[in-house]
Amino acid sequence: MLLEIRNLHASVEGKPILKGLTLSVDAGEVHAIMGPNGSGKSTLANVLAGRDHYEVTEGEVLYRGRNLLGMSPEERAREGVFLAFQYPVEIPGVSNAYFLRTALNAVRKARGLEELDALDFLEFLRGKIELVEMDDSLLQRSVNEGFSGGEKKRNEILQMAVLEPTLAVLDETDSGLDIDALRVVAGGVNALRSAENAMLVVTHYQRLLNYIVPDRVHVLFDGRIIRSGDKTLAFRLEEEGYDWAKSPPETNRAVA
Amino acid sequence: MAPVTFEPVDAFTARHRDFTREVDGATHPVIQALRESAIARVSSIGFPTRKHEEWRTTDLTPVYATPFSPAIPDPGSAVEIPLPAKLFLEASSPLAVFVDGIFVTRLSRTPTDGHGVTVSALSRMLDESGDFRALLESYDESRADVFAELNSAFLVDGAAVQVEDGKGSDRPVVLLHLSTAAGGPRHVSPRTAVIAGRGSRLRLVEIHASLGDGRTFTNARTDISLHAESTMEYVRVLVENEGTIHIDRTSVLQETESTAATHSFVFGGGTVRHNLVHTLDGEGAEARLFGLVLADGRRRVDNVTRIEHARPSTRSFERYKGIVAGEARHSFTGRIVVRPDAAKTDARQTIANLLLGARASAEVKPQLEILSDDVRCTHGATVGRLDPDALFYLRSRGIDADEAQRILTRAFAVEMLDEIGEEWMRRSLDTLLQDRLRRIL
Repeated sequence: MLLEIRNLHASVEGKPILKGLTLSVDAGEVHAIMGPNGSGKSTLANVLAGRDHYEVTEGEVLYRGRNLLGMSPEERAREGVFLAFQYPVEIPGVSNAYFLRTALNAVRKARGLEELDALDFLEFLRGKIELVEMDDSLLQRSVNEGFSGGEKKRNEILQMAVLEPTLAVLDETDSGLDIDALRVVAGGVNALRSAENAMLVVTHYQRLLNYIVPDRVHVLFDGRIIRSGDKTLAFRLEEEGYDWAKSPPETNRAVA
Repeated sequence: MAPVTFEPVDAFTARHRDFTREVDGATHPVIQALRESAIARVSSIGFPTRKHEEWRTTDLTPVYATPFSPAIPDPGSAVEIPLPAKLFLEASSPLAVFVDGIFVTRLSRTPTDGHGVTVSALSRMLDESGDFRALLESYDESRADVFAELNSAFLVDGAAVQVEDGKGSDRPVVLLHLSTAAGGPRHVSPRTAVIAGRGSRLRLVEIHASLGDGRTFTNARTDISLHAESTMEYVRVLVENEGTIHIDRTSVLQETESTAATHSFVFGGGTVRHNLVHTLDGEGAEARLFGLVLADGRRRVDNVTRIEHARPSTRSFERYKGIVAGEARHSFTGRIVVRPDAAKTDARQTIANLLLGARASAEVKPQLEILSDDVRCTHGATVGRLDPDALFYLRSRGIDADEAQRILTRAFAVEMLDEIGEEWMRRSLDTLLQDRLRRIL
């Protein structure tokens, strides 16, 4: 199993958010985590990436059988965990190209690969940029500074394409995107799907799942997964709303 | 604060007596006479303590309590240019090297390149131009500065740069001041005089570096006179050792429609105080002042600037940044004076400090003295720490925490490099900055 989350409890500023979340993801799979605002979706994404101020109080997370929670954020990234941020951070004074190359070389070095110089890197980057249909000029600009919402999300997927993660967590990557940007972003994500890697797509709406078709869908509510199913669960949620999901399952019909 | 065990005036006067006996025979008569008038002024002005408001931020105790003996320059001494200074030596730029104030021909390249720029020892220029004598001897009693006079009192020789009317070059002139910093605590007095003729242009770089790791009191002074419609870009870099107390005064006198940009980089020294004065003494003159401080350990850096808008329609733009780590401290005092007849003055000042340690500190004191109507003066200051969200963002991409801090710190500073016109200067400063950041973070 690539990722095993067992009875995970986590708090933010002393307030419990995740209250016993259990989830397993295997290589080659795409799982969607859906849930209303405040259900703990972003907390899950941030705990997996290792952000400060998210305190794990109980449970464990195994990534390739190793204790993920014991690793620093940079170790996780080097081990192949990637978080596409809901709100990508603007970093004035650091060019996007320099950022991408520094990140790639940090990861390559940890994996025992040779670091790429500026020229080799540009060559390497060319195909990745086409994948996310990003304007070349954004490479010379400061990281995310003055980028539109769509450009920021494309930049996240570009980073994902560059770092080639084994486990990618997409935190509300669809939020704030128009339909064209959504299509491009989803196209990039789909191109990166493989039998070796897995993705955890965190989203509020079913819309994204028309483009990134999940193998499994989980409904997160009040810090726990209350329903799991195949992609049809997402359609049912869209039709009936989260209140339906909260009511006790009438049968196990929706739970495959 | 350790008690001051002697009167500084008495101590410096006694050292002055011994020093002049040693060097009198070897110095230019104008400089010899200047030394005598200056030591008299030092005695009458006296030395400040922290009780003097203007010097409150600078701890001068080590200057008074250390038996600094004036360095006797040895023109034949075998010296090697130290590494940080080497970064700033570009093969095609004119270079003048001074060791303990004395011009060293062997290490210098001062071509007569036909661009009307002359670089030489001050003593030589005194024989050729009366203007340099006037600049050297100029003294404004209302703005008496004891350390500026102390520089004259212990002057042996210095650097002179002259640009003829309407001439000039974009290629920077590099002045490298080295202090031997060996054989006991040393007192050195680097001096530079610059005269840029009418409509001329000049790029000038001054670097202060140590040859050894001994204690040094560097008491430097630079006087720049910019005639009408001249343009100057001036970069100063301090990379002295941590045992150095560097007290420095730079005065820039600007005539009508002249434009000056000064860039001050403080990367070294233990205690540094840089007094920078721009006097906008001609209509339409413009001054741009940039500064970057990088201080760690227990270092203290004081930037004290004064911009005097003396004529109408003068403009100034001032931006300083400090990166302060460890238990270091950066103080900035920026006075902007708008004289009564300086209508339509436009003055802007912004200061930003980045604190990298819980015990690092920064202080900003803007002082606006506006004696005219119809002016525009703005100032602002910020102090902050590295953005934790940005740090996490970088780390989440595999970049380790130290490297992430260095990347964000360089990003904070890079704006000050971008302001410099000459590309190799920008690159050299960036190399030095990143090298220093690797030591701190």
